[in-house]
Amino acid sequence: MNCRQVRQSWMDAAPPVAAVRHLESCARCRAAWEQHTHMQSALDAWQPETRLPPDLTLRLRRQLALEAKPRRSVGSRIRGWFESWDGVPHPGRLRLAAASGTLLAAICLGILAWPHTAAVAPAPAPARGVVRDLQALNHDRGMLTNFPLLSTSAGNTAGAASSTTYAN
Amino acid sequence: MIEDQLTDGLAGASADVDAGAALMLRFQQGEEACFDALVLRYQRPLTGYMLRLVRHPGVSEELVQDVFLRVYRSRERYRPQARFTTWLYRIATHLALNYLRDHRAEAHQASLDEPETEGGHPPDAADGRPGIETRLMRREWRRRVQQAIASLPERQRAAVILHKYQEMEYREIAQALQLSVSATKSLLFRAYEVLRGQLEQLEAMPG
Repeated sequence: MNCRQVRQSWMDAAPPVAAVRHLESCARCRAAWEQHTHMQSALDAWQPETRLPPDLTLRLRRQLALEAKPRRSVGSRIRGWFESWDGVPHPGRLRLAAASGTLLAAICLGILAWPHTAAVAPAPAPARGVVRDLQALNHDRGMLTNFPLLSTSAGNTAGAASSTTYAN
Repeated sequence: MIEDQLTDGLAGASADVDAGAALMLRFQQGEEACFDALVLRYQRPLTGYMLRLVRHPGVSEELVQDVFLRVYRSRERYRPQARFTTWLYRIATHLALNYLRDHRAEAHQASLDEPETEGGHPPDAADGRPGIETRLMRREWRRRVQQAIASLPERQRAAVILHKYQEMEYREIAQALQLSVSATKSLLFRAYEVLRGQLEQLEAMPG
């Protein structure tokens, strides 16, 4: 046996006799053997404390139960909903009509409950408003012309225009 | 208790019967309690293996849980071609190596040292407790052994742990690591050579 074979045999539980004899004649392997036994005892002493979770079985069961629960598709949910009407003692058509009616009612309710945007009333045309205001002002001034004492200050400047308006 | 009851049922079988495989086969046939028995039987060695390999108690706990979930899910496919533990450690090694590969960048600094159950006591020769100095030296000693193993490449580390601590044969380690027997032998040889060199300077365990 060569040195490598001898050192490989140390990994076995029971090294062959030839490996033991080799040590008598090989100083390097003897030194390596010392190191090997030292390493083995060091490894033997390394025992990390294993803390076992007390509820592992329970946790596994819970996880497996979650996985076992079937996931329903949308189609099967709709089918299930229709099937839920099976208990109602009515002919098939009535049941379908009732189901459709409920669905329709739900849609209508949804539309009604949907938040509406407030309808914006069209703003009055500003030009028309201004004309109306001017007409009212002219009317007032026309009235003032009937009371000369009150219209002395304003009569000369605006009176002509107002009288023109009235003339029209 | 469940395990005792279940393994009692194997009493009539041959001496070298693989109890794990027998439990797995019974579980396969619908005996749900056999799965609990498998968990109880292999939880401790599997946790020890994971803890040495990934060096993080929380992660090793999760990985052990994953291993048993896989065992459960693959009950239909299980065939007792090898020892049950070989199959179990193959799953465990696969999961652990995947985890180590995915988290290679993260350096877990979790300590695997013993908990401080002895802590807080002054050195007291009367009650036979080791003094604080001895405890610190032991802790340092363990840290160095742990570091030496952690420095090995992941496959070498797994091989050493399976060989040294799980006491598996080359053939079983080879199956767990999906290697040939000769490749496994040379992997182990290289790993032990590295460890021998690293632990050469380490003195005997204090105390």
